[in-house]
Amino acid sequence: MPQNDNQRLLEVKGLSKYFGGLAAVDKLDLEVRESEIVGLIGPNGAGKTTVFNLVSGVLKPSEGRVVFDGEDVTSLKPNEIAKRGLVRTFQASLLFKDFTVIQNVAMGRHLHAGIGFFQDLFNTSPTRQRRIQIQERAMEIVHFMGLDHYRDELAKNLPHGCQRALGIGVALAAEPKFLMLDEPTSGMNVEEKEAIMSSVGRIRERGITILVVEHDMKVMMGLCERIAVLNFGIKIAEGSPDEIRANRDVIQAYLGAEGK
Amino acid sequence: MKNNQSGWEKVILPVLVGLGFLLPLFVKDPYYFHILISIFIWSILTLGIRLILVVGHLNAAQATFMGMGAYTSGILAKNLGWSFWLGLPIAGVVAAILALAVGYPTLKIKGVYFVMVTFGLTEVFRHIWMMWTDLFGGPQGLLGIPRPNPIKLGVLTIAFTTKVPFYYLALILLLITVVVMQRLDRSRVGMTLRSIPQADLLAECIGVNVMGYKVLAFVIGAFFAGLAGSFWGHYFTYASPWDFTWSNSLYMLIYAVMGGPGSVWGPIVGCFVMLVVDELLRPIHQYMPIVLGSILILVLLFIPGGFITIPERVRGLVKR
Repeated sequence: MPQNDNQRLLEVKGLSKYFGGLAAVDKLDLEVRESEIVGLIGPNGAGKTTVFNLVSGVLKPSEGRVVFDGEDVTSLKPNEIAKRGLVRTFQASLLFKDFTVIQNVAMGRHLHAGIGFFQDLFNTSPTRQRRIQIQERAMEIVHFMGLDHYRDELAKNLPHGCQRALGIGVALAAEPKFLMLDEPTSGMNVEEKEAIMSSVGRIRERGITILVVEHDMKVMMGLCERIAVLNFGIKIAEGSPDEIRANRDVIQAYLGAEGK
Repeated sequence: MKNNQSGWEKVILPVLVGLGFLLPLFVKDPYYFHILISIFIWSILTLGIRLILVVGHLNAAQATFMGMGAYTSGILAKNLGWSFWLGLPIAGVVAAILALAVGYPTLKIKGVYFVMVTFGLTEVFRHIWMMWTDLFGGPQGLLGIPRPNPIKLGVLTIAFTTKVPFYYLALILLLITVVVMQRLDRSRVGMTLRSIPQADLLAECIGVNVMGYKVLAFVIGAFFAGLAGSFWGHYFTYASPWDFTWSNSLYMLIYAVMGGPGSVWGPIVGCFVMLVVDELLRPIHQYMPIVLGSILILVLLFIPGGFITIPERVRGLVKR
């Protein structure tokens, strides 16, 4: 069934979302191949986050299809899409704020807990074994995201940068095939940005395909193999970082307005 | 804190449970057993309502699930001659099925809809029980529900003719409820339930079937309300629509909040304190709502974690 002839992991076809007649996303086509890292950029209000919400099932598209790993997932609920290996992070520091860092990451293991309801309830010996494994795995991820120091701190007490890192950690704990990062460096200082980007690089080395939305052009140019540019819900360009940098439409829509 | 908690659970709790079982050796007055039976049954109901409260939903129909249980096993016993011991689990299952039917379409919607729907459910069933006189006995209730059948243990026969056997039965039902709820709390299911009100969208996006968990919490709570209702009916030998009103569900919510919904002990402490206060104030019963309301406001203002957090707070003050 899954036809990965071109190793296409994500295929978005003619995706549109209207909010009261206004097109937030307009007939978007986008492909991401396996183990690629693709960037989605565009000025504020270009519809980047809407694309994320549509692909992850948080919003239902008005038109178009989302095909993930050869399967049409357009009408699936977010948890069903996550089950297939597509996991996203959130732009806001959306976390389980009253849980500790390690508990947050352990929650991310939900799909891989491997504990049945009654096993869980009766706390059987294999269940305890599984719990230990979950804890160990969560610990690895906490370490991977550089949060060892905050392991037992409540998520709400973390500095902003660490909250963002934890958000990625939670998603990573779900063992995605495909990870979508929504502005992972927003609101961060230069060092924090560098730390996050190096984490993203290492996530990629693990063979996880990544789609990243980002505001910071510089970050994107260094990171992505391919970039798609969105403006007013329409894809105005797609190509390598160099091609994007040279594209006149992009300069006008994006760099012209902000960068220089 | 965690160590302290498990410390008291290891020492004080077995003592309390032991005292509970030995109490009939020292206390003979049936009045006290009646009060304790009420507290135990209300604790079961309140523990049930707490489970969906933890997920962030107000269930205004817990008394209706109780009524479902009371009428179900009452009618099975009275009209069909079924044993209470069979009717009891069936009552729980019927209440759970009703919760499944109601919860599935309504828990999807956020906000006030769920509390409104459960409120509506209460009114619908109250009227069904009132109007359908042939089956449910109408406004005067279903009378003549038989007492539970005697249990024969070899030479010993436990007959449900005095308060004491009912007391033991209520105590055992409460212990079962507590064990299940405590296990749930400490399991991954419990952790997942607690995660939902913090960030349901995040939970959903890491693969949690949020809807499914909400329905599960609602259904388990209703199951125990069904058990409690069945007991209630066979204890009083009648079931009346006036006992299963939304205001009783509201009291359960209030007791859960007062006691502290953070742990399984909170609702029990809440029921214990409030029902004892209720009993003490019986001579001036018309003022009870004022007292209850005042206590609720004070708890919310000064001990938002509920009665159960008082020792912790005192310890904190002493340390300072």
